[in-house]
Amino acid sequence: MSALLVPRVARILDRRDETHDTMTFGLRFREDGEHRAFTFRPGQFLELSVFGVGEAPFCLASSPTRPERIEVTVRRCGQVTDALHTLGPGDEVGLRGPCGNGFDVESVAGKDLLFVAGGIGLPPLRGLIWNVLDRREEFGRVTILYGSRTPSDLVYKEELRAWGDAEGVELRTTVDRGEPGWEGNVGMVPVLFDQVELRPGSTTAFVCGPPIMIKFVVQDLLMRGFGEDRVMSTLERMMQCGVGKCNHCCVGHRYLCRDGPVFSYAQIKEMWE
Amino acid sequence: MVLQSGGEAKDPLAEESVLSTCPYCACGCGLYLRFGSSRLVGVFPSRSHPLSQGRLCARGWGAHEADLWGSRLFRPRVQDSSGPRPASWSEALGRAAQELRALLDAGKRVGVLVSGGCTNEEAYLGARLAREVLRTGNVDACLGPEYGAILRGLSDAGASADLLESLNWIEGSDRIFLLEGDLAVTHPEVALSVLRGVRRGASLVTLGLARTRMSQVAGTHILLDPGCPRFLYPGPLETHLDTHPPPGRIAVVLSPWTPDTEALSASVCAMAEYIGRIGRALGTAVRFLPLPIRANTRGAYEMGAAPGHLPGPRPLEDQAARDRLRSVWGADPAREAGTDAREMLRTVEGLVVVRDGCSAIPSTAMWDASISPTLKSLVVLDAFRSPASDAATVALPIGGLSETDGTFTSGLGRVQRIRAANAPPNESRQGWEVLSGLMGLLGSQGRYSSAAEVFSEIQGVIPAYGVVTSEALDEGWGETVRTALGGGNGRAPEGSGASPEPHRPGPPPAVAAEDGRAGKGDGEAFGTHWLVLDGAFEWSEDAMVQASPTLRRDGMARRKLHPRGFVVMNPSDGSALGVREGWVLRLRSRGGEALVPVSLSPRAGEGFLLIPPGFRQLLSDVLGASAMERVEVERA
Amino acid sequence: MKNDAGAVPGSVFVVTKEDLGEWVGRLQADADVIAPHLTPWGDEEFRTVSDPGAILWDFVNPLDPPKRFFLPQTEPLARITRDRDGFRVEEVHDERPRVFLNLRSCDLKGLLYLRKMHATDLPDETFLRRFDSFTLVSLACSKPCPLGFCVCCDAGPFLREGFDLQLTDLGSTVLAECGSAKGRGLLEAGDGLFRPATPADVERRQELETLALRSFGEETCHFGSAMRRISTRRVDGSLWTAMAPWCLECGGCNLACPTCYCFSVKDLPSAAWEDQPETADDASSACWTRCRIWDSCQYSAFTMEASGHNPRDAKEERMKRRFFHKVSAQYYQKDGLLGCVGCGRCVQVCLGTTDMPAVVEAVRKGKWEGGRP
Repeated sequence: MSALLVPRVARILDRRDETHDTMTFGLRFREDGEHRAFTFRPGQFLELSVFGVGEAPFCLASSPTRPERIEVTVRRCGQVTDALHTLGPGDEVGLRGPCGNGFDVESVAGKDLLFVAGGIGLPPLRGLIWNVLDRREEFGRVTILYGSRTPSDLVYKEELRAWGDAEGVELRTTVDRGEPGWEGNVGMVPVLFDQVELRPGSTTAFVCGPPIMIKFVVQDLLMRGFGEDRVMSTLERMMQCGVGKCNHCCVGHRYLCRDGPVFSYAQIKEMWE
Repeated sequence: MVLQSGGEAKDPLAEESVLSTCPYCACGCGLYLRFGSSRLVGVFPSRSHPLSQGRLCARGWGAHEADLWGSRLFRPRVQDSSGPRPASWSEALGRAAQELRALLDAGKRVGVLVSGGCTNEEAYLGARLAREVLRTGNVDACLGPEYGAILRGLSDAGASADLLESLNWIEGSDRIFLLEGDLAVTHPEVALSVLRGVRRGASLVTLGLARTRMSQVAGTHILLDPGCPRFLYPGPLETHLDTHPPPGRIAVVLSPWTPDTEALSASVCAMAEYIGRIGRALGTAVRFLPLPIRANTRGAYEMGAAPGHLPGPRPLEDQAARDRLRSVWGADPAREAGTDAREMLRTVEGLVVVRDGCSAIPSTAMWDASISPTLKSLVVLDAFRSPASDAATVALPIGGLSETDGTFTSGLGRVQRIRAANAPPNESRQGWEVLSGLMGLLGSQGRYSSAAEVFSEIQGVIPAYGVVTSEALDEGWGETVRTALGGGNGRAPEGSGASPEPHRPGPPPAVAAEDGRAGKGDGEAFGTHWLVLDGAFEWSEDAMVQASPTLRRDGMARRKLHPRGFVVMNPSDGSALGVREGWVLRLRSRGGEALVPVSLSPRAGEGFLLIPPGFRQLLSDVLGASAMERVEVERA
Repeated sequence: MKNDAGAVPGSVFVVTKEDLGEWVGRLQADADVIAPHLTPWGDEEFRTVSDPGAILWDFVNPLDPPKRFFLPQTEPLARITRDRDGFRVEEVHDERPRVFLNLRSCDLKGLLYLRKMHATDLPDETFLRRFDSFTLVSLACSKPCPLGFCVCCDAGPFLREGFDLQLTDLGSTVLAECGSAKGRGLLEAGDGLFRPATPADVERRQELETLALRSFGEETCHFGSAMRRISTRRVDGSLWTAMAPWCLECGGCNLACPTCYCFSVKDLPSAAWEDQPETADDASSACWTRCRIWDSCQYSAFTMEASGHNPRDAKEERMKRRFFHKVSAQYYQKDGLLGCVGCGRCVQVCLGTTDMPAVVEAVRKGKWEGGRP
């Protein structure tokens, strides 16, 4: 077993721009055996090292149903991400993981699923969405509500179309501010709730996005009758080791990198300190 | 891959330890450097150290990080027409000597700039280089002028003889006055003495431009007022002392609150005069503690690395001092007063820099070509890469402070060793060695084969340092010196002849006004607020802190989070103006205007806008070269 | 007189003080021995033994905690090199046999706590391989130290278990209680030097423990009461706010604490751990050493996120956090061990007045008066 804090080498297969400051990278462990042995759940994350610059956590944006590549979507916001954006196909990075608890996909089998994402909150859900769509018959109705600040800030623009076209999937997008050429909804994500039929009793909601957006969306869902343990979200804190040892990400006696980052609202409510 | 499984090879965990002194502030805490075969591993405090007694602040605990993690200079480098390239020591030293010689022969101005991070040996040789070899009085230390200003203020108030010798005086005082930037951050060990004093029942009066951590435990906080003569309105002080006459002794801690040296010395003089007068009236002992900023700011000052005096410190015309120097140097020291660090950066054509500390000066953009367009030769001695070393015509790598043997003089006058844990890596050398080599090429007779020899010479030139025995240095925690302008009872050293600066009575205190705050002085009609630098310096601007992964995080995050900087405004001023956290203000001074976001905090007094020194450059249009300006403020 | 060849855990032996040097010398043949020494400046420190005669047997516990030998302040974890074929990552492991001699009871307990933290949930193999190559010999405290409060933390002055060997100074002899097979191995190395303890020896050892316990006197720290209040959120926020200016954020309480192990992970540009660095700046360096470095939850940037948001921006939040981790029932239940061993180091290194006993007292009383005089 490899040492807890030591990365394995992976290669960048390709990269594509999502927005002016966000890119999705396709990765694969350099050692074939390592890649095939790597299993994960959506909602887990990786500690990715840009050698010589630093290491940072990124959620896995790909689904375990498509294991030939691992994908992460990275927004530039510091030293490591700046450096990562200068790398391209063939370049090597370090990976540790998978870290965290991930989404419990099995537990929502047969249920209706509601995905609510804001901006850079869509990547953590994308893995779960593809996981569900790849095993479509195991799950109920799928509703995806996604909003960003402007149309250019929407990520996975091509995939949004594919999702909207998929069987039994309802997709709605909105932007805070429109741009010339945008004919879709304008307004924050909660405006989309009235456009779709929500069934709080049979639906599990997954909410990701900026903290303020999560707060308002969760409040709205609870008011509409969603159960506190049926509203799932992710909590973030500064992380270093990602494996529950360095104590940076503690909230109370929980380690967000081990007990989380996925929590139900019922759990989040109990957290203090 | 198994590193070690036993056998003959040395244990990789086996660490040596060596006692050294913290290289950061002027408290001079003792710490052990822990190191492996060629690398620092960490530090540990010394319980037996008489001052720090097993404690260290965050910088002390991270004192090993800079030399280990910093971007280092390993090889001498010279600039060619094609750019910088590595060079041998003989070529690099030769080039430096040649450049300086050419400038001297052409009658151009040259200077030497050391820093409070230099050892006494390095600072002394820097002063000797300036006054003996380069024949100039242009020698100074970064952040040295602030210390000189405090000493001048004390001297003007006639209080040079009343300096406290030990922090115990503070702990046992009945009344503590603290003039500060933010003592809890700049000199934590002194702050602890103040806290202990308060816990024992002393009452604390803090004075400054901002409400600091120490002001939270103070009984009285007095805001300095730039609009008031000498910045200090005696009214509040007077009222305080009238209603709470101190029955026991009084401690006055003077730490730099601004880089404006005139303001510093004026406010120190005002405080020292007033409190001194009260003390005499009550028959109460008063003692002052002037605090220099860096680990060896005081040492550099006493080694003569300052314009306006000779090593000692002795006045330029002090004949006994001149005679001593002549007999040791074989040459008369240059008589001219010389210019200070800021002037030097603007006017000299040749400059020797030892351990660039100038990034910590908030009011200089040192390596901006527009500031020093005339600079033709820049010789930099440093352990770290810096904007200075990048711009240097000759860059000479020296050991970091964990790779250097020498002495520091703490703010309280304790001369103690810093010790090398490892040798300077690759081709870098000891600082004193490089300076001595350069001096030799320029014609100096000084020859040294060890740091101890340099210290011996220092003792010959500065009799007050004669009390420091090698036993005390090598086996103990050094020795306290009492120099003419600092330390102890202020008696002039034996046989020096000249007395310290004559006592000049200061200007009379300002007339009391009704409202307890200053009446406005001249020209104060402009503007609604004072825009002032929040403190004389910041650790986040220090090169060694920036090299340290644990220590630099706060500064880096703040710079990233606030790329346009921010000013701190009092919340009630904020609501009067109708602004909220993060909103942008337009500031307009007589010099210019700027847009800047606001942060609301009770740290700022009403009527003040504080700028963290690290953001100073962002507001250069408004502040210019000064540390405080009247501004008009409005929502942008 | 030969040892009983069946020396087992629980069995008790005695050696004269004159023979201690010989015993350590024999141990050095197979392992590095680490023990307390005195620096030339009069500070106690743990270091590798070269001359057994320099080992301290009657000493004030070093301010430097033993954790340094299990979690170095700057610890190399892997060497990363770049060559033509790409990056190569080599783990660094350390299984060197070592004996840690004369650990105080509190420190031994602290090490056991550290082992547990690194063995549970995801085990840290690097740490465990190094740790398990140590043999731990404690020296019970018959003269408790003035600043310690181990009795409050079930960490001394004598231990019942957890040690490989527990030594007690009986005067002219030293008694050794065997606690494990590794301990037995050390006794066997002392073949001919150790003899079985007599009932009088054992009685003397019990007596010393009773005297030591008694000497703690009336001063008890009120851990239980503090723990209850902290765990049930009955400590008013204003108490932490009142304390905050009396803490100068040095981090010493964490860095000197035998049970704190917070760290950060950083890559050091360098050719190799032991060699001189080749180049000056990161961009051109072809080698890095991934290091684990000590960190402190009292530093503001400890929880600072990439966005700049800091959930524990206020100092009182960080202080509250520290004491929650050390003294809460939630952590006690999760870890099965208390996060404080009562060694008293935080009292010595505190650059303010907010050491563990002072804070526990304030929590119990519900008010802060500047700390204990």
